[in-house]
Amino acid sequence: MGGSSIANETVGVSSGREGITFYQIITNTYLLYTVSLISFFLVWDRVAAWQVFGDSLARPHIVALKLYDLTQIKFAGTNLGGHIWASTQRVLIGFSLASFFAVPLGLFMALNRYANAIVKPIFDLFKPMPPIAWVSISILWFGVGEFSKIFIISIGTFVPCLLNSYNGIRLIEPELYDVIKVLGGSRKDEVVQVSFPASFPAIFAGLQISLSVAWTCLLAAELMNARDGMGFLIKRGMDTHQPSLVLGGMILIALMAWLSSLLISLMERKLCPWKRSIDNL
Amino acid sequence: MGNNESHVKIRVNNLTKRFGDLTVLDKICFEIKTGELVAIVGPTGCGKTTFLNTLSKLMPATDGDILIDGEEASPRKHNISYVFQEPTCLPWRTVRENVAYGMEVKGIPKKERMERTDRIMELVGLSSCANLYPNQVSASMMQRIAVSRAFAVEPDLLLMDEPYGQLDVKLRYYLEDELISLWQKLKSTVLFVTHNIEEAVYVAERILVLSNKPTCVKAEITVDLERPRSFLDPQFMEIRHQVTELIRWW
Amino acid sequence: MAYEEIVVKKPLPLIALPCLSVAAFLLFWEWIVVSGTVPSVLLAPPSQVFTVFMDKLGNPNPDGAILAVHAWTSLQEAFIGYSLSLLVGIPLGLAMGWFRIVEGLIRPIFELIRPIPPIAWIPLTVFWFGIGLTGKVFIIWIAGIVPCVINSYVGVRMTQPTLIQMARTYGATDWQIFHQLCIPSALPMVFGALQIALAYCWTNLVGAELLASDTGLGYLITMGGRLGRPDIVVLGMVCVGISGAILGFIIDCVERRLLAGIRR
Repeated sequence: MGGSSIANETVGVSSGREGITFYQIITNTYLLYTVSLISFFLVWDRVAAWQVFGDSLARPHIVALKLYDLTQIKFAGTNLGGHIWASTQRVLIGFSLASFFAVPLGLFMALNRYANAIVKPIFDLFKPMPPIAWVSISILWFGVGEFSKIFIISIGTFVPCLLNSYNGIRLIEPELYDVIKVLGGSRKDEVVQVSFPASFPAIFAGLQISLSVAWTCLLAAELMNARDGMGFLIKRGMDTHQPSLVLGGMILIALMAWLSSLLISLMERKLCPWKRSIDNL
Repeated sequence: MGNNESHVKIRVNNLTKRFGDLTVLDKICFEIKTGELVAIVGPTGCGKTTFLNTLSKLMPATDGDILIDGEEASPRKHNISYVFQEPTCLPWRTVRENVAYGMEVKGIPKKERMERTDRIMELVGLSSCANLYPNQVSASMMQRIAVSRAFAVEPDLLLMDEPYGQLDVKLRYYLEDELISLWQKLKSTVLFVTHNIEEAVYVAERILVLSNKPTCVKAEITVDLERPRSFLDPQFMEIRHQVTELIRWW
Repeated sequence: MAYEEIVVKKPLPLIALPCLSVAAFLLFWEWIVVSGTVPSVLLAPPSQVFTVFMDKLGNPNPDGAILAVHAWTSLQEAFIGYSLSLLVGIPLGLAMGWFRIVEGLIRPIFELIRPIPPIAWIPLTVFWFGIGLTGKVFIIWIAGIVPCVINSYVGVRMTQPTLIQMARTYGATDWQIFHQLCIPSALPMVFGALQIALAYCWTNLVGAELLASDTGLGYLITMGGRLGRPDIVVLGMVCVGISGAILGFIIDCVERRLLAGIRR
């Protein structure tokens, strides 16, 4: 009876005495996942085959073939691996650069209110500005080379990194500090024993957000102007009207974004094993 | 009336619950008469909560029957109420709406629902805060809301899972008296689970003592004392001692 | 009054410093351009941005439309895309949180599409819908729907289990539990999504306009860049920032109103 609800696993999981019912079969998670994925690809394939969007949607196996081809031949100077690496490299550099400066600055702002009073208003000015809006001016400043792309990625990732480390410390429960105070600890003990570890989860949340922003910024930069990278593949597909190339590029960038966020999650699990995760999405 | 009192309301036969290889409940059998207040005590971790969850049909039993008036128990057909250990109030409903919630689910017409709500709230002294929200009242008030809601549906069986376990002693005495008076006025059949032996002897007409896992009914003690009971009554202390001996593990 | 009002005095520097730092920032910006440290072809000083702002209010040159038209186009696209993403995302997320079948069928597809940055859809939308309104609304919709679904889903999942058990013991049906318990308890999370979705929508709107558009604030930025007019670029950025902040503020007020409505 309670089988169709999943908000509380402890209530509905046991199957009861009636044996396997039809209802339980159709609500089996793996069956549903399979049905869902198969129908997704089927619909995609049919929509493409029936030319609902004219010739502007490629069938799934064409996209796969296209990606396979790209691993074999050199396209605009390099093969598929080269394009993936070009993009990943930009994200890595921009992301590390920004987080390297933003996280300590955020922590420092939260711990020192004078620093906060000076720096925070300037960030409040920049905060509502979407990072993508920087694309044009960075091209104006740094041309179309590597540096302008890294600049956009850094700008985009800087703000969420900083704000999350800042909030991570601001939102610590004051009782935790009392523990240290009662034991006679100094301000330094408070910072090292409480502030840093307690802000870890928030910092990682910030890194996750930054990372997804980084990929978006990278894509915007590469779509505007690039000679290699996954965004370049998409852009080239757009200019030469090859939907298979566009879709291939989209799949690759989604895959990389997903992998990199997985990496951050693994790091977080390693570094803060005490953090209980509420959502399993 | 005398004939009615001996009528068996709830009959539990061979109730068994296994989680894989672990047998938690082992062939539990007992009966509860109409309008009886039965307490269940047992050592820590003897599966009291599993027992209640199985009885209330929140969890399916592995084996055995639970019969209410001779029929297989079902939340849709029978009125089973459950007062949980922690307060269960819907934060977005006022105290009055919370008390009425059980009846609303049961589909009781609005007019009757309002009348019954008002009556119960009068009995437990919630009338003054009828239009407040749960986060505006104290923890003991929240538990009273849950108790009122449970009584309001006029349940065939009312299950209480250590409802006063988290309250301080003074409030606890007060609420126990309130529970007894509610039970006497509304003549519900109540099954009261607790780890506090004194509480069990104070409220119950009969006490079922559970054993360690796999749990079964180890003993049954009738508490035939005048109400209001006194903790210092020699008979009271005698029964308390008897129950304590039964569940001690040292 | 039995209580004396306690006034916590902020040290004077904490009030003065923020104003000073913003003023210093603007002055520094003005100075580096005017003094020639940064060539004026690369950056426009605040004063020039203001002049160009006054000019663009009535002058469609050099990018083809006056400022109000650009702003109106952007707002229109943002509004339609945002509303659509709320309309689809919130019910979908709520249903995914409670109904096993909906979750099983939708979640794999959602997880496939989620990691694709929304602006990666731009080429396809240009193929499918051209560079008009529809394409951009589609991209904004894709961007906004993700936080809506996630927050509503998590909100339903975080419903207190004992409340559900309580309702079950009274014999409540799944549907009753869903709309009497899960939806109200998910509401704060759902309102939280309003703000996040807006930020996503706004960012991706600018991206979409930068790359495929003929009006809008993002287009203004691109044109400024192509024409080598840093004043126009900065003006576009400032406008995007300010309108984003205003929208965020409006949503914040709405959110507070709604939350106060259920908490009272």
